[in-house]
Amino acid sequence: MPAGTNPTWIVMICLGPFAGAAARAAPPERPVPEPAGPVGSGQDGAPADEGTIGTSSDEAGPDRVPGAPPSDGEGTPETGGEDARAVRPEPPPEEAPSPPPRRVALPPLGEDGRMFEPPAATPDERMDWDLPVTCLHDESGEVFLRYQCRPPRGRETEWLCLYSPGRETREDGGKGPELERVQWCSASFWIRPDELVEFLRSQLPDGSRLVAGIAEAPPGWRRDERGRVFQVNFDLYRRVYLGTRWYPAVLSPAGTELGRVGLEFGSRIETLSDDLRSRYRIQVLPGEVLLNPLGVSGMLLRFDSSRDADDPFLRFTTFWGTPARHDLYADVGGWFDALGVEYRPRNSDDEIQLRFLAGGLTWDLWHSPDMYSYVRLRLGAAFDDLYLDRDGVDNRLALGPLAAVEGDFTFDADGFHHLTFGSSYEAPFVWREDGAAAATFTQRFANELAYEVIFLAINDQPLTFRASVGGGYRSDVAEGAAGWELTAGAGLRFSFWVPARDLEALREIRARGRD
Amino acid sequence: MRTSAGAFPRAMTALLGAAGALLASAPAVAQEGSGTAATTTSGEAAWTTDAEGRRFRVGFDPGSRWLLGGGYATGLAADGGWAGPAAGMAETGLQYRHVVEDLEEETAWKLSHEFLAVRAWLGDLGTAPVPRLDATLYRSAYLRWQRQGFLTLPTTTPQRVPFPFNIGLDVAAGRFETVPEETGLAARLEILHAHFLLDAWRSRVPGRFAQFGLGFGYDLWLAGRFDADEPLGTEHLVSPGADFVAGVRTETRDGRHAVEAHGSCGGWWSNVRGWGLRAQAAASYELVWLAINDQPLSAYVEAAYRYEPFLDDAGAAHEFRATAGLRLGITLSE
Repeated sequence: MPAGTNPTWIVMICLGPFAGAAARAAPPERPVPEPAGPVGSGQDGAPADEGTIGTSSDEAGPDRVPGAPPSDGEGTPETGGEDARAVRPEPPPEEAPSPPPRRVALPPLGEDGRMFEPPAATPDERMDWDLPVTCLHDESGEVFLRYQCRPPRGRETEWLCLYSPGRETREDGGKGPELERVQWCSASFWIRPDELVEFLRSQLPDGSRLVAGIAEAPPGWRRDERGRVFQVNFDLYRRVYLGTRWYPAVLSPAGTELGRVGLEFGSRIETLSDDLRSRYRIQVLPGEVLLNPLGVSGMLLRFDSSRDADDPFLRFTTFWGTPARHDLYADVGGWFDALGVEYRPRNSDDEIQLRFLAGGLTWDLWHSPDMYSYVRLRLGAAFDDLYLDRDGVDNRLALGPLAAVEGDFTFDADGFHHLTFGSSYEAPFVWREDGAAAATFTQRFANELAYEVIFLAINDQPLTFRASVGGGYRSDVAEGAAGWELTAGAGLRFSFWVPARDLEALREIRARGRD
Repeated sequence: MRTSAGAFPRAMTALLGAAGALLASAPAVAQEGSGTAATTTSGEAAWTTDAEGRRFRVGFDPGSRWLLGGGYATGLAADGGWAGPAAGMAETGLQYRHVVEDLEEETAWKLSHEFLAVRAWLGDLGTAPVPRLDATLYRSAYLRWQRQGFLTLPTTTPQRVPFPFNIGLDVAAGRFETVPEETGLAARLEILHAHFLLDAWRSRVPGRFAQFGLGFGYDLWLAGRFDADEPLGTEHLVSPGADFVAGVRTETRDGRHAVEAHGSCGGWWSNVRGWGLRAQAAASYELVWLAINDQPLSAYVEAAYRYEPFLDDAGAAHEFRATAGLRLGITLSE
């Protein structure tokens, strides 16, 4: 508030330049819906009953405002933007009859008379992210109180208004930093804190009750009683991760390797199409470095997709009897792997498997409405080079079909528990590039069952525990390395930049259903 | 089971009779003179809508499609017994037919084309002297429909005499067949066959005819084996207008049933063996029983016979094959 401005003015700024600076709020991820009832049903989320201030159509508001500004317009705060609107209430005419006082239950004021007394117990009510919030600024422009009102729910008979301070509370009760990740102020008022009670009585709905609450938090986040916000919902399919695991194996015929350790890394992005019917999964540089003995596996790019088809995949028309049409839906998507490498597969001495390209189709046998979870068939072909670096380079090209059954399940809405399984079979035909030998038929068979759970978050970055068992067979590598394998793994993964799951999209999909 | 060439005419007659009985139960035959509109194989008439509002195709043009097929085939062994077991067979081909009308003269050309018709037998047919690969570059038939057929006699006062046939022409060029070595041949090449046709049915509807005619042909046989060290020998065969052909075909209005029988018989001259009689005949029935994404899937049976007396092995002179299979047609008509 500019210095020298009449402090008794009450000005409402509607998302003007002051709003962002004053509220220090994060931009909302989606439009804030207008609540039912008087709150926000007028303009800008302010209570729209006869006590509303700051709306151009409001004629009754000013007479409820103590210290209303003069009508000559002097000292009007600059809003500084086209969207900002400042309405200066007119003083009530002397002959106007006094409206009846509102019945508003307010908490007791603190000793300084500028703020309510801190609640004796932890508030059990939380402000709603989707309801508009009104911010009250003091002389310095700082938000000292935020409140929102909601109509009666269930058996409630009165409006409930919740308020929270604009700052976090320190452990010793002092003021902390400004609240993080709060909703935009849909209405802002500059008032003197000692006029707080009178202002609220003029603004809150008649018959309402104002109680302390915990400020709102974005979907997927939670705020504690001190106003600190933290993430409680994680989309592990959008992350960058680093991990380590103990990865013992029993290899036939090589023997047991109990001291094997793996360093895992990768990044993953998943996104829904605009029509919410396709989910695209992209992994960049997923891989692992194995130590003791050394081995490396990785992939430059991996893509796959799921499709919730709204058109039948096949339409059968039968011509016995009256011609009739029968629709078969199949959720078919695509996948490809590009530029993969496996250094010393199965601990072979001199081999590197390069995967130039692999691709094919995915067929979801089942998937959840938002396609987070699925069971599918993956079919396709791969083109590889089994690079043998022994007494010179020996390229052995391999081309063959592959098929896999895969599943991925997320068991809870907050994305904490994940179970994956996969069983793949490849039948590459391997031939030496120099044509010295005929093509040979080889096999690769791989299986894995894994469970991953979030058990801690550090700075809102989740730490997960992952356990797995697996096994397989391959005959394409050198004779001493070919054979069966059983593995087990247990380790931790630290994930970065993990957003909350998009539960709003899931609600939209469920509401839509299949056409 | 053993059979002989003499049993073939009876089998063929029975097959045609069965096909005719099937057609008798098919939907009403189109009005012969009303043109292609009498069929429901293309255009909006080929589609219908069910009670749920879903649109689907019920009419198909069996002469305008890219067909992909597979089936099983067996043949008569060189010693007269059945070759077995039956071999898998794959086929493809591009068929297209259309009608070019001249409304003023009340005539129409019914043009049928077939490009790159290929059949390959994938399994073991034993010693059966039937082709292992049968590919034809181009095959066609051009039939001229006229509402009132007539002949003009060039007398002093030209006279118009009613003529109960339509005329036409068929052409086949570039047929290549490989046959088992028991026949003594590496391959047969039909360079060009063409016949002048008379159509007694005189139907304006494509796919319906009862025609016969005479024509010529030129074949080239490659004797020996492709993988032998010795060069292949060549033998030229010519029919100088003495090759008689006959064929009959009909389809239901919606194109879902088609029956055809055709044959040829004629005198041919070989530069190696002199004159001889060559003959062949085939009959088939095709039924569209399912459509997948509005593309017809049909089942068919076919029996074919060829008499080839010029072969070194007299036991291989009678070539008989029976085929049953499925065809997926990628429809080329709207």
